Amino acid sequence: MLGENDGPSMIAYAADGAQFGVDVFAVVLPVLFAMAYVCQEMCMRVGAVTHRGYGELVLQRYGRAWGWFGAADLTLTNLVTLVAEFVAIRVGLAWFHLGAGIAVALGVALVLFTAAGGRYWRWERIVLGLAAFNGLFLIAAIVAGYRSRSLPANVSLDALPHASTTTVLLLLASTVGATVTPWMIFFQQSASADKGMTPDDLRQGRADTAIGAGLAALFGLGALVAGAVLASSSGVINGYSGAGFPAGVAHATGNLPGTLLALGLIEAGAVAILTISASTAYAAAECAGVAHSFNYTPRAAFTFHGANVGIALLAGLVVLIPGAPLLSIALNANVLATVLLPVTLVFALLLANDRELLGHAVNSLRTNVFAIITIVTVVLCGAAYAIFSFLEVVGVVN
Amino acid sequence: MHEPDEDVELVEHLESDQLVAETMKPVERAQLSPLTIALLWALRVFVVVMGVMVVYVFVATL
Repeated sequence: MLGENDGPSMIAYAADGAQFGVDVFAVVLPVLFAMAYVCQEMCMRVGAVTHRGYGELVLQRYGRAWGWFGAADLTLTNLVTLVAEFVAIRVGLAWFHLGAGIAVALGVALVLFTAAGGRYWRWERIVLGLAAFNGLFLIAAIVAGYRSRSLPANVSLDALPHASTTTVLLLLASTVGATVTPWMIFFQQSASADKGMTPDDLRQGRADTAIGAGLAALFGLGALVAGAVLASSSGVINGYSGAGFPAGVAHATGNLPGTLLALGLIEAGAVAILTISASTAYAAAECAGVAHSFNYTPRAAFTFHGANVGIALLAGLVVLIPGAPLLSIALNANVLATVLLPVTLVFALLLANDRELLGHAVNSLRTNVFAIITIVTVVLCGAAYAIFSFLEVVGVVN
Repeated sequence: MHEPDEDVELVEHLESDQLVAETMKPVERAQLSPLTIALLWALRVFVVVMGVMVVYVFVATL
């Protein structure tokens, strides 16, 4: 679940705080993470009971067309999101005067290193170890909040009602897309199966997911509060190409919070690169019907490991293209994820209600209600932004 | 959940013979009602149209 707090997500939360303060989003973020919990619990349960990944089950249960449609949908979203993750690492490294080449080399080396052990548990423990550093956002918020004496005044912002419709819709869509993501649906179910979870592990799986959701919400709030500090200064996070976010906070509150945020961004990007690459690998290998596990060597699961490393490498190469529109890609990554998410969520809901597959482990009425509310929210946010921004670009509305 | 040592045993003995063999058998195709199929097609069209709009806006605002 901590993988949800990826680079663009943390930057999006900080941008929310910088532009609109913490009032609204301090309520919105925990609600969104509750939605993410509902989705991930369903996937963990389906994976544990069926021992099959998401892509594999959709393909077998609903046909090849849907399986490949979902995998293609995921690959596109993942590629764009991975570019944004490399950008986040680059933002963090820029604080330490290191460039894009180091960011790409670091990300790809991590993917190779974690997969090299030939065991799922080794991969998982490395990712969990790295994810612990997501707490840096909370520490940064505490330090920045303590040093910024004017924070209480800054956070009572009522800028939201005065923002343009497109800005509010973009903000909503990107914040939803930052919290409930397609790659996490694929990853959660496939990883639960790969881990060897069984129905006996469901209670621990739920606790694991809930703790992850709670920590992710807390650390996300940390980024929100740290960003709110900027509302007192320029109020602007100054782009992705420089060290805008850490430098902005450092300018307002001193070097320590800036350093913590830079390290946090490196961690958030690195963990997300590992999980997003893994979700692509699971989806590709499951749909191709070949070996799909970290427990297999690269020779025994060539497609799986090839997709895992390949998509990270491809995204890294995009980041290295001179003049590539990285800022625009990073800003649109979460929006694209929100727009493409409904298909993934609907099939997750169908699978979690499939009595032939799950028996008594199917969704309760309460889970179905929460899941449907989540899907409707995602559809409305994504559609509202897509339609309104499209009409604005073609000149139908101003 | 298994400890690493147990995982090794699982992979070497149980998973390779039993769990993997069991999961290699494809599950049966779901029988969907005409309404569900229509809704899924509507969803597919919706996602493609929305995706095209977002990509268009992305390209147009570069």
